[in-house]
Amino acid sequence: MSNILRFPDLALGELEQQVLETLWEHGALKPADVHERVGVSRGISVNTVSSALKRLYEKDLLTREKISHSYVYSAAIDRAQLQRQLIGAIATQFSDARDTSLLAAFVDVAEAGGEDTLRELEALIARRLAEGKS
Amino acid sequence: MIGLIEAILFCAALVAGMTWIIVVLHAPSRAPDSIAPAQRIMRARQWLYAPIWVPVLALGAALAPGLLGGLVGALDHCVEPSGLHHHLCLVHPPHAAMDPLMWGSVLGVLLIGALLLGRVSWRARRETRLIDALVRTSSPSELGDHVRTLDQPEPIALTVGVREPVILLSSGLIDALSQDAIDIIIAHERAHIERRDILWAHLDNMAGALLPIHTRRALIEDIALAREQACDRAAAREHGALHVAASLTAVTRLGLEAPALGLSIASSNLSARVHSLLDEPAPPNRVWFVLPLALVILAGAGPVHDITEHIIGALLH
Repeated sequence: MSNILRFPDLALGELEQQVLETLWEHGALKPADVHERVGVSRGISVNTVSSALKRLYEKDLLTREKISHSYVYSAAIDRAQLQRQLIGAIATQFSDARDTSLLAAFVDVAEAGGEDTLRELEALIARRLAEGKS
Repeated sequence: MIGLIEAILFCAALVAGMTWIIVVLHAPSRAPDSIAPAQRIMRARQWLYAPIWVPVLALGAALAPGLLGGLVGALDHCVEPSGLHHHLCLVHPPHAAMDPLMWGSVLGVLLIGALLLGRVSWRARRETRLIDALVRTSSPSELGDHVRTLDQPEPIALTVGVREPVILLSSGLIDALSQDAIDIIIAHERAHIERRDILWAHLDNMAGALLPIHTRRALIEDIALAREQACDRAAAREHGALHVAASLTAVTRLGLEAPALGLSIASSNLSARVHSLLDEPAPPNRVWFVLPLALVILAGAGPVHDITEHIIGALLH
């Protein structure tokens, strides 16, 4: 499938996200342990949870180690790192599409006009504040 | 009746094509700052959505004489009532011509439109999936309803989501700014939610997809700046314009010191926003909105109706 038609690897589904949250909270776990914490309440099988773990592993978001006859999975990145990767992916998607984005940022530093413009504006605001206008 | 549908679709494709050319050639690059933000958004959207609303309105007006004739009965507007003459008229519907040129042009316009809209919808879906995943990694906040925090040292303040809008603030931003500045940022972001700006961004992208990139980018950037200015003013009504301007420069200062991962996505312009806050707002002028609509309706009822009938006639006879 062409890359354009695929969802980005970081576009995690709810189950994948919940599995990751569980591993962040509890550390390394076997699929059965993850199922106990995530799958039982959702009414899904161990196989479904195992598939989610495998997908996350293939996306390099988990590491795994074979112990006895079963894999033990751990998170490869923490919450902040995932957030950074997601933010980077959204920004990349935006620049690739060369279009507007579906989020509203408070300020756009890239469009701010640089240090000189910022200093001028800061000085203007300081003057007005000193004059007591608001 | 098939003849009438044929004539209507051909007329719509014809007017849409002509409108598209006019928009590409004449759409303004950026409205003057003297115009109020709400009015600039309206003006830019009139151009952005023109390939959709102009054919619909012009066609509605073109059919109005026939509709009125049908309703009133006695009012017969047709000079040359004949089934062979291709009227845009319910009273005297033309015979179906099934002309390949007519249907080819209609299907061509529909196919190109569907492809462009499909492409932008797919991109939106991809971005929405990433944004949903980002929101799920965020943590609840005590700063208010809809506010969640990102565990990031860089200054980030965003509004995302259509059905369940969320304001995302980074821990770096919250730690670096005063509570007053954070309240101002939240007031600004809440204004985005109240104005349904993210939903409009989706719709603007869809409409913009029908236009070449240089045309849509200029219009969408103008809308993006004006919507930020509108939200700045909404925050200024609560906190005062100078304090909002000071928060804008404070967040920009933080951003220059620690750029937020290239996430300065929504196009805006700090200088234009600060000056817009500090200057007196321009009074609204409804003529901008009403005049183009009136012109299109008049054109639809008059020249568009006649010209379309003549073009169809020339093509088929």
